[in-house]
Amino acid sequence: MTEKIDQVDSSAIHRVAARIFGPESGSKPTLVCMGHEDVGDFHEVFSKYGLAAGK
Amino acid sequence: MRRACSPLFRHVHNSVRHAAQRSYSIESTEPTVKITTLPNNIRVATEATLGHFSSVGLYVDGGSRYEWSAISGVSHFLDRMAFKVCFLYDELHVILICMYQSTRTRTNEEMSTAVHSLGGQIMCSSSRESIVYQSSHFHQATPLALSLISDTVLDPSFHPEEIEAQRDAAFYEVREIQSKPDMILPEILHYVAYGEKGLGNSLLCPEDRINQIDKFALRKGMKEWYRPERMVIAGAGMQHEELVELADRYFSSLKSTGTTPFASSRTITNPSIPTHLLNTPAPSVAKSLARAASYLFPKAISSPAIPKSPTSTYTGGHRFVHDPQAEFNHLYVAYEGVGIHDDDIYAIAVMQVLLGGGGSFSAGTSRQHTISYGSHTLIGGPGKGMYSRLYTHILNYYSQIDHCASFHHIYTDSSLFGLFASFVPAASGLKNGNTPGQILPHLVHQLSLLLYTTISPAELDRAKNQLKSSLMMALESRTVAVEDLGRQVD
Repeated sequence: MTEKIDQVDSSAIHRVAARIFGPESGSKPTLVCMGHEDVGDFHEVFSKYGLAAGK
Repeated sequence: MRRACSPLFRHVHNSVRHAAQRSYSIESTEPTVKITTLPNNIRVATEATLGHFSSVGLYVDGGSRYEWSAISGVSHFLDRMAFKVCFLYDELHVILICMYQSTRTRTNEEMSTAVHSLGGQIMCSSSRESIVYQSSHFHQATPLALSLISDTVLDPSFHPEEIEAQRDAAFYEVREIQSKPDMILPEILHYVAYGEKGLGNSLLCPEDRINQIDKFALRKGMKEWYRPERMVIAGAGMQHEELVELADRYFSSLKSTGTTPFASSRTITNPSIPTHLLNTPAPSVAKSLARAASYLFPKAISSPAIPKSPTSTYTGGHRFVHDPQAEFNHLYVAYEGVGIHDDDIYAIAVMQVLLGGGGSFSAGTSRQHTISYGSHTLIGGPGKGMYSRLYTHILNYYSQIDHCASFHHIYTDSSLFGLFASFVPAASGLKNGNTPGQILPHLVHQLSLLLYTTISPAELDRAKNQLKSSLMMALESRTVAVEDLGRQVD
């Protein structure tokens, strides 16, 4: 187990981040907002920061 | 002084001397895991560890994930009714009433006496993918512990008054949890992410189902889940043969309903990784990581909502819960990660530690909640990640944000990875605003940094070391080690 953690390097983080929320991943985010007001057009924010927006 | 010359003492003594001579060569202390499959297919696993206490547990592939409409809420009831005290309440107080679950062989009183004479701790808890019955006690109480577990699992009486008491308790509990955003929001998040089934099912019995839960519903759920193919018995602090014999004595009445029974025995040195612990550091996380495998459903069964093998139903989505009275706004952002058997789980676990986070006013403690335990666990003191990114990049900059942390819920075939923030809605004039629309970019930016920037070796090492150290610390608990063993065997 510790060996597998040791093997995680910066490029592995990039690769896995791209796999689960990168713009090419085709992933869809889940957003839950609770309180006084809603979050607005979140798709645009995700796209602007280069994340999968699910749209 | 004679007693000091016990074999153990001599061993330690010799080791020290040898270590000095051989410049600290350390002998292997890797515990050995033995697994035996009983004729009815229940797997029995033990880990050889020394100590004054024993732990034993029964691990069942059941839980809210495997509920369908007819048995929705059953795992919540099974969890709360096993062994323990049901609590009732009036308007002001929670009154504890000692009511032990009766079984066909033990009345409430006999159950109560037996649990007390155990001299340890016995509990049941359910999560999305597993139901766990576990006991920690002195060595000699292992047969009693297994007998109590067997009684509760195979022969509960489910008297109407016991179920009625549990319904009252459930109404109270559900309302309590619904009033606590930090406890109910993860449930809503799962619902939005996975839909109205599977992992989207709540750990809590839906309010409109509480009065529908009766002994028929409970037995239906048990019939489905409490099959030998779905059970593992694990223990530490006893001989493997002893536990195999006890398991056979107390559970042989359970007949295999699946594939051809076989008996086998194997020994594993170097036990594999306690992957379910990756979700550091909350025990709640550990609970959410049971393993279920495709063999769970060897034959088509009469429950249409249960897939033959668990497959993720992740859809993602968005939900706004309007609460104009709330003290804080809450914003959760999540993506689907990978299942427990995917090697990329390690990178996600490192990302989670790297982001870290916690409360803005927390000097020493961060509150971790576990709905399944129905209690709070305080994780305090140094080492909780004050230098993680969500502290250094967010909490230290934006005073309107009260709480900001990453999370990672891991399951057999899916995981939910993300981060959340709770912030003050009313304050004005704060840096970068305090509406959900203004806070969202801060969170999204943190994910973006993981994608597009290089992480410094020092920062990455700190996250990896922190992850390893919390795993090591968790495994020092015998209870955690046994639970880990029980969940890993398949």
